[in-house]
Amino acid sequence: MIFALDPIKQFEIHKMGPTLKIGNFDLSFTNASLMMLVTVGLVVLWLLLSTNKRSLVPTRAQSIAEVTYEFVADMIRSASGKDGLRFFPFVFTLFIFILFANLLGMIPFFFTVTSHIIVTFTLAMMVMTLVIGYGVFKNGFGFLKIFWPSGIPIVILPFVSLLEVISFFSRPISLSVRLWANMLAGHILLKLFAGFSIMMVTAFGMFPGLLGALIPFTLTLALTPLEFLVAFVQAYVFALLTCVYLSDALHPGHH
Amino acid sequence: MGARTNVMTEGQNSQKQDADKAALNALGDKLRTKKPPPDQPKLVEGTSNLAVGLKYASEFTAAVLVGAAFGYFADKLSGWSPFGLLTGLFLGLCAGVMNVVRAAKDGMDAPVENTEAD
Repeated sequence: MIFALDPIKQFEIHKMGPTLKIGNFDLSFTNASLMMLVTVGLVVLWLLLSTNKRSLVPTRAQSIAEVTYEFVADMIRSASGKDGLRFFPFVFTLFIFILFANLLGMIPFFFTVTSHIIVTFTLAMMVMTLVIGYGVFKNGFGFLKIFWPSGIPIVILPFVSLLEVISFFSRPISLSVRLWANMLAGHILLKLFAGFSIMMVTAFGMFPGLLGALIPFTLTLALTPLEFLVAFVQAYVFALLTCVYLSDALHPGHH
Repeated sequence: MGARTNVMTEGQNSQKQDADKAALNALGDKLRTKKPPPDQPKLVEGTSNLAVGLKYASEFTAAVLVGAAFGYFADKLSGWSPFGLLTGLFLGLCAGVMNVVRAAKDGMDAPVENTEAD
């Protein structure tokens, strides 16, 4: 019973099936892997089912898919310009994966993939690898211009460019920490208040307990829609920041 | 006599309307220049204060951590200990403040077209 009230318990990772080890890496299938597969499976199923007819006058499901497409395309266009659209598949995948992972985590007893920093950090490192890789591939040494801001007196320019370097390498950390901390804190908060209302009843019995549970229960009720909003907004922020960083790779020196 | 005054007031009325219209248009232009274009994405964090706090906290801490890590490895490689770490921490703090200012200015979501005008 006490485990059901433990707010951290929901983030535990369990192995499922046999232990699989390659060198020092434990590659066993876990509940996190399962949830990622479920997320990807659901996205694929949704997009396949909603676009299989491809009618000129879209059905309800098809127009949801089209609106999602337009939403991401507009975001890329406004944040990294028209030529940013070559990264559309990447940004769309990131956005939809994070959105579905966040929303699936809101279902009771489901595991939230994005509440683990290693997952969000991997996603952020993918973004940074793409930014550096594409930036160097497209601009060569010109990519280093992002560390060399224009319009700064030459005396403090080396100092500022050092700061720019540190700022650049801090991006994957801040990007991943934001998503991770939001999901983690939100889920702990929800569980805490929900658990507290149960604790009230078990501690004080039905009559005064239910009365005492009123406040935490109301808070749970108020926090749940907020968490849905956070799930969407954080996926959006992650994708939007990806676009902003990708625009650095496309047009260095526009800082 | 009465008819003339009527004409007069009508003329004044239409003049006044023209002036009003011009003022309204001027106000509209002013508002349009002040307002950001509607399709510009904003880094709205919703109504969650936690998210806003985490934005600044993560921007600042990340820079400090990276600066400290740079300093630490500079120490390891060159044996300047502890001055590499100190310098790294200091630079990290500066970069952290820079990050926070940038995040607060919403400079992170400025579209490419607008940054050229700046």
